[in-house]
Amino acid sequence: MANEVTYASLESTGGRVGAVLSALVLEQLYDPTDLREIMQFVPFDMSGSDTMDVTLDAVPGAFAAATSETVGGFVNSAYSTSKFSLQPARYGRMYQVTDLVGVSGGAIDIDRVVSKLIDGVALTMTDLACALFPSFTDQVGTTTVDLDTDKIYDAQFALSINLASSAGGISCVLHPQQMNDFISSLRAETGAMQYAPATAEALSLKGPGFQGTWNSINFFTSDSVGTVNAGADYAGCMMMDNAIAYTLGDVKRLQGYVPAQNILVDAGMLLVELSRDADNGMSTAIANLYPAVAIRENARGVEIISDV
Amino acid sequence: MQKTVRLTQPTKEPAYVRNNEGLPIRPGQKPADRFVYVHYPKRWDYHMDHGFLPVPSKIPARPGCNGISRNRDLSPALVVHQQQGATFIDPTDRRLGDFQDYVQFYTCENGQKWWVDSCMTATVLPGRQIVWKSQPGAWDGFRMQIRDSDMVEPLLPEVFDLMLEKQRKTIERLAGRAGTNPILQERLKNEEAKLDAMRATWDEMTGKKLAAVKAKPRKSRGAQKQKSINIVKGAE
Repeated sequence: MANEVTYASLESTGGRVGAVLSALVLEQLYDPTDLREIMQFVPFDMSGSDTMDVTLDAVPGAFAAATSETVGGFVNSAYSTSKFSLQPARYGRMYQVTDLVGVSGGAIDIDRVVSKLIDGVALTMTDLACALFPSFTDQVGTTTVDLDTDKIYDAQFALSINLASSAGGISCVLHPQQMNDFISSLRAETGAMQYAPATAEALSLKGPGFQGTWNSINFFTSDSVGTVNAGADYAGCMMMDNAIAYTLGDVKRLQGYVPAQNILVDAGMLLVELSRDADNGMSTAIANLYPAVAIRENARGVEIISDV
Repeated sequence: MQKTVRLTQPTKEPAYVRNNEGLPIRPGQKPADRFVYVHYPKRWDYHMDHGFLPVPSKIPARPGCNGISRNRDLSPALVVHQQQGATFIDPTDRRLGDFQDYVQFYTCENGQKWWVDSCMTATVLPGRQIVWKSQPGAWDGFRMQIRDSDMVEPLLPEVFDLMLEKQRKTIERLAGRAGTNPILQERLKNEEAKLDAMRATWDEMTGKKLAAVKAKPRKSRGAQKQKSINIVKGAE
């Protein structure tokens, strides 16, 4: 026997190739948590400044009793407003793709690259929100001690004392490690309160990152939750909905600045434009975003620290 | 006209498989921002060895957060915190002693800066994962320094009362659950010991302050109005 047509011989003579790319492209693991669902969006009304102050109106007060039937009247009450500032800063990301990538074909193309840029908006906003957690004045938890249900109660009680519990739903954003510790602690709990894990329906309502509900608190996890105390603790947060406000600069106003033919995506708050380097045969997709976040009212949130 | 060129001496470069310079940044990871600390009067905790220690709040200089602009100027955020009663712990303050310039950085392989506390060490594992560790005792040392150098307001009696109340509640909740669980019983013992230690430390602190106040010679001017004494800070 001779001259069998084998795979090995074809591979060495060009009849077969070592490997081909599957048409199926799979996602790698990443944390897609989007906290915009529990933040308050404030439209950015740009008119001559890069900073927008948002007024917090005065709270109403109970009336005072008159001290006399005929004289004295009343003393003027202070109308105490407050404010917070949103100052958008430019955030961006860019990918440069050579023409050879396009010419050689395959599943990774410029469209897929652009879609990754769009996905990055949620991650950016979550990063920014989590950076604010250590700025809340109130704090619960003990440094280098795992999170447990008692600390979650402490945070909830602190919000109640601040009168924040009547201002809407309560959300708790924890690092995945904090969430694990909390769930471990829940195993030892007795009583009527049950942890309700996220269902597909709840995920569609609350967005990625939603883990479940316990004691009327919506739990989210995010790997953007940072460390404090020299890396000894994670700094999660429990807050009322809308404790953190955010805005996004309207990139539609850039019409006239960016040639229309260069715009790949104009999603209102996100602009993805194409920059062509013909000399080197490269195309760059550049995404620009102008976000700002701020604590709307300190009393609406509590930092939760626990062991890393 | 082309001529033959012969090169005989290649340039030497130390052999390496991979050149590791700076901290690696894994996909989806970002270096930590520059930051400063502020301290709120209510933020204290109790350390069994060092007594009451302040718990500083970390304020990152991230553009777009709490009014911080693209040049990472922290002033707007610090103004807000100071209006809310926080004390800024200025990294350049000489009272910090060895902890002066407590915000330092490691350089990343792409040239970015990864800002950390001065006591942090980074170990890069072969899989490019970074394991962070604080030098033992350094963080508590920093907190003792800002306490002992009067950079932050001393622990107020009212805050101490709140801490006691919180500790009592922790003990009550544990006592209700401990039953025959040996782990919870051990925790309960530790928390009770902590409560006793908190009281003892406070008594010692206030005792010292009172002794210091009493030791001061009284001014000899006759009918001077008596001032109230803050037993924590001493005579006003």
